[in-house]
Amino acid sequence: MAQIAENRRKEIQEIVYDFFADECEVDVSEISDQTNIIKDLDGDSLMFLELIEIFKKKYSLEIELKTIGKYAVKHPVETIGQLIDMQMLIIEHENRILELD
Amino acid sequence: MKASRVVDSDLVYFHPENQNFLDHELRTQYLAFIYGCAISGILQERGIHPKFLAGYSMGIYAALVHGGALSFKNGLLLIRNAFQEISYTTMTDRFGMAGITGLMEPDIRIVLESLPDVEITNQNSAYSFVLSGRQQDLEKALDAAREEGAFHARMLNVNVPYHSHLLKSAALQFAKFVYTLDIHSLNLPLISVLNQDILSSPEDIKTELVENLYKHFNWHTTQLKMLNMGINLFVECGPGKSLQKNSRFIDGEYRFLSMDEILKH
Repeated sequence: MAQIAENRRKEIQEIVYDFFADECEVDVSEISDQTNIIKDLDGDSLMFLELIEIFKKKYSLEIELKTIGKYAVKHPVETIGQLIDMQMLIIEHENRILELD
Repeated sequence: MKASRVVDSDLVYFHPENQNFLDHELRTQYLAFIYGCAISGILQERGIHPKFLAGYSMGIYAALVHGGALSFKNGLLLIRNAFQEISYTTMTDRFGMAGITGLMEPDIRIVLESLPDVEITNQNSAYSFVLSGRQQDLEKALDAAREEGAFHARMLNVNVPYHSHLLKSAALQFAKFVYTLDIHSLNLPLISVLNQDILSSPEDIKTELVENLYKHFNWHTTQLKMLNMGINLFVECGPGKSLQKNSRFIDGEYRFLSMDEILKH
């Protein structure tokens, strides 16, 4: 079980790193889990939204965007690592993510 | 230099690093127009000839210059006159605009149920909307939108409720000026962002200029219309990449280039 979670995290990490490297025109080697999405990469909410759409399609997720938005208000994401962790939760819990609180 | 002679002698002092300049709403509009006209010249120099034009909000002025309907000088004068009329109309209260990302239209309609004077004045994509209204009402709308699950909800840096019914009286005054100007037929068609009609005659253009101040527009529907017409390459002719970014949420086989990408090649 732990191995599956670790593999999935690696898979998500690769997608997220490649996405921000491409979007923000930086080398993927400059991105780490500690990278701040707004301060270091000049990221924005549309990028966040686009990434969620990518994961929704890839994992056939049944989750409304506003559900993710409500969760993000209570659990703000600043770094790439936090974004990956949240994405793990979204994949695991989908619309039930709000019940985690 | 020409713009500074026509409308505002201080425009010659503009420098991209001088951000204070951009806090002056009218000057920001002049600069966006001048930028659009400069881009128009670059596109022509490089042999890039669009088949259609569409003006995002006040981008209509530069689009009309590119299409040969309006002179550069008259574009500046239209911007100044519209701004003056709007200033008279809005001096009695504090107004503005706001952007919401991450909610869909039905969710925003729910947010606005108790705020009848706040209007959705533009849709950029299925998940991105612009509102106009009084500042205090907009702030309430933004709080409600965040509670509803918006990813991003913020006031825009303008003090005017563009594209809302609140500007109808200003638009009617503006019309008197519009109808004194020499406006020609377009030499390539312009798609209205208000109703997605294809415009070319001076009468159509004048009506569009007036209605553009107080009627909602819809960029999302406008892009869909162009896609349905077979257009597969879009060039964003303003500073930034916001339309390009929003286009990623609009399905279709097409490319959307920003000016940065055009200028690199």
